Amino acid sequence: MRHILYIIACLLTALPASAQKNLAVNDIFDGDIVAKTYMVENMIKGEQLNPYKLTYFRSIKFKATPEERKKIEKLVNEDIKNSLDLEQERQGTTVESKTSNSQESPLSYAMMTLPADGKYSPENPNRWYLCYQCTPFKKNEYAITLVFMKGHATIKELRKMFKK
Amino acid sequence: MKENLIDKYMAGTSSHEEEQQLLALLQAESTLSPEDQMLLDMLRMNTHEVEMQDSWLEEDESKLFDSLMETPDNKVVTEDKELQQSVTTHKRPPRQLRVIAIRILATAAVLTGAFYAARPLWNNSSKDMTVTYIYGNKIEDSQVAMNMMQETLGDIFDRPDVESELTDLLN
Repeated sequence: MRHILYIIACLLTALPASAQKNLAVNDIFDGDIVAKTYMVENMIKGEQLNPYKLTYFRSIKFKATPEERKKIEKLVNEDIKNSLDLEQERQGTTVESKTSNSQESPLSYAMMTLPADGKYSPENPNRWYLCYQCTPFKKNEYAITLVFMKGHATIKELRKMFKK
Repeated sequence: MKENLIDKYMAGTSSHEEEQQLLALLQAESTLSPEDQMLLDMLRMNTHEVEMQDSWLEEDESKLFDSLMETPDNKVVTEDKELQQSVTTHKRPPRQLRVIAIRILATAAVLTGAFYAARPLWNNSSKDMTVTYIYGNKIEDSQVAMNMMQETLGDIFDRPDVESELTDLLN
């Protein structure tokens, strides 16, 4: 009995380490909805991102059917619930608050700040950012861009740095 | 019948069952003549001797059986068994094997947990890394990755920023 409890305790040590990436959109990045062979994926990390006050950048771009888009939007909406700050745009409207407006309209744009590692702390400047963009491409096809970033820049600073 | 049995007994030709029968007849009588009493005593003594002999015989048979069991062949088998036991003593009993297996599993679990716990430290290292996949084809060119990042974020942030435009107007 003691041996079994010892093994269980050792296995449980692995769980906290694996719980870091608990975003709903991880399924999209993992290729569970649209396969990775249909994506253009970009990942950067390290000191080369210091000028942008970022530590990690990952983006995927792909085409999705209406059914796939619904699944993707559902996952993005789940992460929106946990966001600290949100800009979103739904078809026909522009909203800058996650509390107002219903989520029934299709989501065309979302830019949100999330607590780093799922834990919010005012003293901790590190943030996670999630960006979602969906534009009609062809008949029954949408061009979707999903970006995940880590860093301590504000959205305003990022907009200033990257706006064309 | 009694006379016949007595005659046979005196002649020494009676069987054991006939002697027993005669004994039973004599014991059943309430009064015995001195000759009959003597005959009865003799019968009793004979019966006891036979019983003793039977028991000795049984004992001898059992001893014989035992001696048969201890023939050299059986002794060799026994010795072989002892030898087998001594040969197999170096094998670990099943319970000890189970304990060893559990310890190996526990060690593997600890190492796995330590690996996953330390992996975020590797991921968070300042080591530069750029990876680009274009429809499954890997491209390890940092400049391509940086250009793609700027283009992607430029498309996302290329939106009317109402708040900053208003601030600019006020200023």
